[in-house]
Amino acid sequence: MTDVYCFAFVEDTPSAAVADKLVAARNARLKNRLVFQKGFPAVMRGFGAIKSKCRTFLSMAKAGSHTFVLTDLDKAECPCALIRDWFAIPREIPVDLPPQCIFRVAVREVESWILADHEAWADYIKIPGDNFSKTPDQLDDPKQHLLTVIRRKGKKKIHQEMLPKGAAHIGPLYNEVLCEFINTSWQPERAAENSPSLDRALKALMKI
Amino acid sequence: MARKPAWVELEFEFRENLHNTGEPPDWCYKLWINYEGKGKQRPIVIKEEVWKKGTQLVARPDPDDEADPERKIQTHLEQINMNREYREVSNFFSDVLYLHLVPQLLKFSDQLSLRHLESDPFGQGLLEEISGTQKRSRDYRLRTIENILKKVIPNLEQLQFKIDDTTGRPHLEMLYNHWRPNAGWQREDQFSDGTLRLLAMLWTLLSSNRMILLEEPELSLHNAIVEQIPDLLYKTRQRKKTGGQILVSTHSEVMLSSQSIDGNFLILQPGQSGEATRITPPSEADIEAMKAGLSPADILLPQTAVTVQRI
Repeated sequence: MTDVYCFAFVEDTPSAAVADKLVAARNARLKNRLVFQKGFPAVMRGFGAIKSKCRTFLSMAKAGSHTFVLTDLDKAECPCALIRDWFAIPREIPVDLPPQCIFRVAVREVESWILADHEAWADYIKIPGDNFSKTPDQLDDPKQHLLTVIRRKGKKKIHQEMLPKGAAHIGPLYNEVLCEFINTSWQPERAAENSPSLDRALKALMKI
Repeated sequence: MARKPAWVELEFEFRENLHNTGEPPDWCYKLWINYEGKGKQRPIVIKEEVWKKGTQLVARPDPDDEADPERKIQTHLEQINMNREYREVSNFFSDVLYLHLVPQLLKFSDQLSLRHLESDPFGQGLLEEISGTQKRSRDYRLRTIENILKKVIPNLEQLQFKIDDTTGRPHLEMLYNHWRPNAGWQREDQFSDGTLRLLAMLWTLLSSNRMILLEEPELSLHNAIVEQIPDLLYKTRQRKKTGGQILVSTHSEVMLSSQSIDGNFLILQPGQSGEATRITPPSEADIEAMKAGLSPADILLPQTAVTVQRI
């Protein structure tokens, strides 16, 4: 089986780091490699640009080209509902994307996949693990949960710099710290034990 | 480990009809340049070839070059007494117009009193050029430019060319909507950087048939204007029956998101770990993706950021 090349689109830099790690974990186990095109994943700064390209991803799938997307569920009901909405699939038709469209949804944000690697995260961020949820897929707002714990229990300068000030949503070092953790410590297979959505994502990647 | 030799290879093919790719090009010019490798380290010709419809006219280095290596610091092309057989090629290169207007050089030209560079790459001579144009053509072009600028610059009412009564120097003036009549006139030294760059670009597109090299046309302009540049390039060029090609260098995501660009792309990728910079056209996969509807911004821009790390 030959290597599969694909374009990849993600919302933010931590998602890009997660995507790279997922693919590496998959490639370690299988003979053929899934390879992102040079310069990808492309960070789309939010979901809007990704949503607008869904129809194009279907056209590309028809032509045999693979695309990979990692996006947050946020407030949507469930990944199926999100996919149905973004791909404009009518209610009568079951949600069934072509195999070339690798569309993964973190429930409810990529932060839950990070929190799912529970001990490693607590160890890295130097805050006792008891403070963090062990079932992050069930959190309404994983990012807020993470920020709240850091705000309450974080004693170091790095913790302060992760917290948002004023109208900002995240602190200046928030993404950087997450990316650093993902690149150096995060293990998707370990994290998948605590996150059903991550587990599904890994299994789906194995099928390509 | 031996260092890989590094030199620059330039190869140009000229065709009257761009679609006639089955036949040898009308002209082909090849130039390889490297540093001397010793002494003053001057750039020298290590290969130079001229082909006319498949027949070779020039092949260097030739025995004369080997006998007198000093000859290698000059191209055959640049010497008028040598290039007669392919003067067309030499003329083409001298006719290429490079535009990268530096607003401060124009606005502060008096205080700076700089000499104008040959072929005026930075737009220092824009006013003189407008002044030297026949009145009818000048008026027509400035009216076209005025109509375009009125759509993007708030409160702009008029654009005019004027020779100063006292100094005799040429100026551009813009009139803005102001409650006091005639109070709102501004001279080019008060125009914004973006306005000047846009103005110069439009003037150049309207006045020149030559091949134009536009350097980062998006600079100092609002995205809402940048987004329209591809269409502007098309519309202003339509007015001229035989215009040369326009080559644009850009980083602009907004401009590259335009759905109406029908052009060729070249991706400049700096080399990693000591490798040379690569200039490549889009790959098959890239072209497929763009055909499906993803824009050059989606597909090509990320490839140029490979060497950019988090600061």
